[in-house]
Amino acid sequence: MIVPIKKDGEFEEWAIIELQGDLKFNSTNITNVYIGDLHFTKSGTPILIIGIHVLHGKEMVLPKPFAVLVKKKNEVNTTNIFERQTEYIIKALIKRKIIFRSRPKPIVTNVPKFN
Amino acid sequence: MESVESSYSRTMEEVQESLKLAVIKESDLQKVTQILYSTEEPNVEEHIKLLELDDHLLETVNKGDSLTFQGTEEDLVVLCTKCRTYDIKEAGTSNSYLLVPKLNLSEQSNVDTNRTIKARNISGIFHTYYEVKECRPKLEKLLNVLEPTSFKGIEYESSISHELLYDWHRLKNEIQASEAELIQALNDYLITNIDGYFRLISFEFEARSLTLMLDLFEENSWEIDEVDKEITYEFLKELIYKPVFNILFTKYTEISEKSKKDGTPLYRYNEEKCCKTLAKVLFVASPVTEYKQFMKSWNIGTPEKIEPKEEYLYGIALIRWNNLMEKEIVSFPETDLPIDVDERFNKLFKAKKKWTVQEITPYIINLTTNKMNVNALLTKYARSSIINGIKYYSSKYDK
Repeated sequence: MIVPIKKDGEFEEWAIIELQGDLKFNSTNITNVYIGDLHFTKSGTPILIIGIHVLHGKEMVLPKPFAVLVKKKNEVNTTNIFERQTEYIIKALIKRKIIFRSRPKPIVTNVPKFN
Repeated sequence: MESVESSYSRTMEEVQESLKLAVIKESDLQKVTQILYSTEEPNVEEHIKLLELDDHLLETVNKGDSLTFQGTEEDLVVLCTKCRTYDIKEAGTSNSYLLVPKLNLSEQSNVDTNRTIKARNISGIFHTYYEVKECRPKLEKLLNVLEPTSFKGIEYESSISHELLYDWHRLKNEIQASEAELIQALNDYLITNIDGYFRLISFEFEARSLTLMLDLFEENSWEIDEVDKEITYEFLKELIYKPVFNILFTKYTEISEKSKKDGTPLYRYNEEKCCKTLAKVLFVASPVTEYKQFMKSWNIGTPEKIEPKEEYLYGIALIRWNNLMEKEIVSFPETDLPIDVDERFNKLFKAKKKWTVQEITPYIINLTTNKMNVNALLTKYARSSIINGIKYYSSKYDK
């Protein structure tokens, strides 16, 4: 069997945000759930605020880029028998990632001020 | 582990409030803040695969050249470009990869306006991706599927069952190899196109044809480099289809420097290839033969102007000393050896302890890839030693 991987117009450029460990959603609805805020400092360091955690990361070029393949099933009518033909479309290329490797710093609220 | 609370749409005020709580000065930050949300639709990641690309694959996808996953249900899937084949392995990572379409990186966020916020829905969280490794095309199957319909001679053609025949489409579908590698293999294995179907030429038929060709060569007392192709075909045409003749004649000859009076070229028999095939004929009758006796029979079977030499046996037979300290010749075809590199080297060193590079090369040349040549293979899988000035390779694990 031959499953084609096709180019369909220009590729988008996507990126990866790499986090240590796993990300879990508490709600049962897991679409359009807010995850966090991504900032960059003026010097270019990415900062991710997730819940009560602040993460400082680094932008990196991937040693080997990724292609993002999206599976598509086409119904093909061959002599009145409907056959399912799978193919993949290359939607995007990923050349860079932002990696958050350091331990998250908690945001501490209500710290008494001295002065 | 990070934990995320319920769903809402984030406002500028909330972003600024978070920054304040985290004691991060807004003035230190670039003006664009990207808000990450989970996927827009459920199960988006089920339809997405991440495929790692090397330089060749990157070039292939950028050009929009052919790229395919190939394999039948019982095969492990491979990835093929027009000219290369790759093994694919699913690799896992303990980190989470959040796939973010159109994410702005630092230089794209460095704009001089008021703070803006951009919503970014991720396209899933991934813990696996496909790793690729260039490999040799999986050609073992090629011989297996074509064997039942191999060409044994015109008189046997009516007994070939039609549904076992392979046309290009069927072959391409079942053999895990790129198009260029498959075409190369068809040449290497003497596979010829007869009426649209790809056919192996059986060894018996090949040997019979070669013997007839060489008989004619002797009868006409041609010089080795004065072989006439037309006369040879005329002599054989009752027995052999033209495409089969052409592929055999091309295998056993090269164009000679001499030509006929009308300018058409004459040909020269390739002594090594002719002698190899004639030796294989002897092995069919007797796989193990005492050295002198073998050399004698081999000489008798070969035209006078072609001289069999010991080194022509490399890749098809071993010359070794048996328990009675007699020199003998043992049939040992490369095609019978395992495909796996470790297993193949084991088998080679079991059959014979020490090999010269010249002796072992025909047995491992088919394991080489763009990244690993014969020398690299020997360095990795064997140990070298020098005896009387000659370099030998032996097993890494023997004393």
